[in-house]
Amino acid sequence: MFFDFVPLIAAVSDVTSATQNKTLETAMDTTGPIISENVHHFLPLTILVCLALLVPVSMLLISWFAGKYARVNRDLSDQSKEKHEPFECGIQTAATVGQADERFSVKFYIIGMLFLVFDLEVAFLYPFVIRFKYAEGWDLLWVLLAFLVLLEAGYLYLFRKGALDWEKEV
Amino acid sequence: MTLPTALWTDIALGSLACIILLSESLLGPRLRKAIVFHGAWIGLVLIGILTVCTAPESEQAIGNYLIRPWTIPFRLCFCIAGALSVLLSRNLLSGTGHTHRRGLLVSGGVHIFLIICSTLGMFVVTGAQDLITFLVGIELATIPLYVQAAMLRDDFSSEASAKYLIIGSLSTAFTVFGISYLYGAGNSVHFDTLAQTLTADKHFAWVGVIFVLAGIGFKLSAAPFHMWAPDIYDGAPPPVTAYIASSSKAAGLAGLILLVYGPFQQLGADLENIFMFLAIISMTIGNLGALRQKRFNRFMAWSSVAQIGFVLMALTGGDLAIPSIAFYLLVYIIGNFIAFFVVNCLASNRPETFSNMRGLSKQSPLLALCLLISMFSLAGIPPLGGFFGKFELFLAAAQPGHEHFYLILFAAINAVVSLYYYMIVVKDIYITEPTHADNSTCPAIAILPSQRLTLVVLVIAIIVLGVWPAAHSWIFTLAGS
Repeated sequence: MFFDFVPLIAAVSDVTSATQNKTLETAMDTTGPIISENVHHFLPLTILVCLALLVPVSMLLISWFAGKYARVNRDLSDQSKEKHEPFECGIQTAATVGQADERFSVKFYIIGMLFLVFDLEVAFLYPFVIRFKYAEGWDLLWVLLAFLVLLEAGYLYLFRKGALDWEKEV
Repeated sequence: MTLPTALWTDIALGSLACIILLSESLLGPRLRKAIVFHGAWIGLVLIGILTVCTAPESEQAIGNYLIRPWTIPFRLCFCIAGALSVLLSRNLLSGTGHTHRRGLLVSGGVHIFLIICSTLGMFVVTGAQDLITFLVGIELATIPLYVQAAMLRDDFSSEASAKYLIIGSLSTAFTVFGISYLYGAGNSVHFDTLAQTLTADKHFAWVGVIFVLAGIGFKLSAAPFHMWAPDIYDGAPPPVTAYIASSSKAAGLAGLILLVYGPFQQLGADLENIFMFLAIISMTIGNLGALRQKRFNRFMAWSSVAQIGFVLMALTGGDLAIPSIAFYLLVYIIGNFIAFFVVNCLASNRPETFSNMRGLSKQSPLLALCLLISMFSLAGIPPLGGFFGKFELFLAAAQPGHEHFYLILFAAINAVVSLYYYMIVVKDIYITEPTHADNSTCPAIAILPSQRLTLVVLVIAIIVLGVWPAAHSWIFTLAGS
């Protein structure tokens, strides 16, 4: 039933196949029992909503019950003390339990942004793989090269500007 | 794979952007200064010439990218505005020995690179043949401007950039939401398919159309989507203000025409009413706002709102709309840039208020004359290009089958009102005597040789566009009429 979404995604990605689907407009204009006929369209969505509710609620409940056991044995050892501290991705606990406005070096943001940009560029390379078996001659290579040259120009610029140099003062 | 000849301009523009970015990062300081600045404006001028030389006779397509003959004058406008914007930033570039009241640009090379990127985005808008390409083009044209608006180190610049970013994102959200409805109603994102499937009896389509028009309305600063304009014009660095005022609007208009004559073509009669409404309130609100301004950039922002009203009026017309808008945009861009060149010279050592412009005719007769011509052209006084631009817009709205005579009457009244505030500027620079306080705060005006030359060329161009019929008909031929 989850696969009911697949034609929809395919329609979005492939413009030409879209004409085969019924338009939203005509679906709305149809008289008669629309909901009961099309209820299977909403089933995956319903399951998704249920899952979305179930996961956080169960996480909260499990940690509450498990923590109850830990709280009873609070004073057993110094080692387990650390386990009761809030924890967030290696950042000092001041950020999680104290003030939220702790300052980070701007270097983190620069690296974070650069990572996101280049990570997305990798995602843009996937369509080349999909098109590979339809490629004729050198066409695909030129397109790919044009894309990569633009990408590398940006990379060269930020490399020369020292954006990747952790020791450099910002 | 054979590329259409007209596509070489887009490729050249992308390559130019790469070259500028690489010279900024790889070359030594002396060579860099020369190549980045001169390379950029000469490159943009050459690409403008290339655009005209490779102008296609008929539509040339590659994939979902379609180069239409009528977009050629618009592309020419983008190149001219880009080159002028680079020239205008000359006295804000670091390392050239200049000083400016508001400091120098944080990174001149990146600023120039972003101008070229934005121009490329505008080229993509005019070449779009589906809604996704269209959106990507609009974003590529706009996102560099958010960064450029923050290029000065003062609070006004940061404020302008933050406001522009938020308003711009909002307008993009509107556009994307509208596009999703157009896809739902028309079952495609391709313009040719949408042109057949979007009919006036589909209510879903209208939701999409209204949202997309609102998104583009933000870019055009057409009332009621104009509130961002005065603050951002006032806070952004002068070359960026001039670029936003000219090229960004031209791109918005090209996009609007693309949609109106492409996917929205079956909605024609009802769209005319929307444009009539937008035109009327843009003219009125723009004029009312401009009447009482004290700062020049804010004044230009309000006057541009009024000018957009006149352009939208032409969109209610028939076949004459495209060439008349193209011609008007060219004249408008040149007139705008003359004003911004003059005010940029003034602003290098004093705030750009009207009271600081008093006595300009005695301090610098050349600058005063240029500003006079610019104001006359924007107001539409006969021998200059601005008159014929406006005349063509009125003519377009009166075409057989589209006779909107009440709208034209209303626009004529508004044109008279606008004459008043343009003449206030002229009065301040020529007639009003500077008070003692004004005089003591006015140091001598420095004008760079390159900017003086550009000003003279622009003034000649605007007169030629007004008096020489061949220039006029050349633009019309380019636009395919």
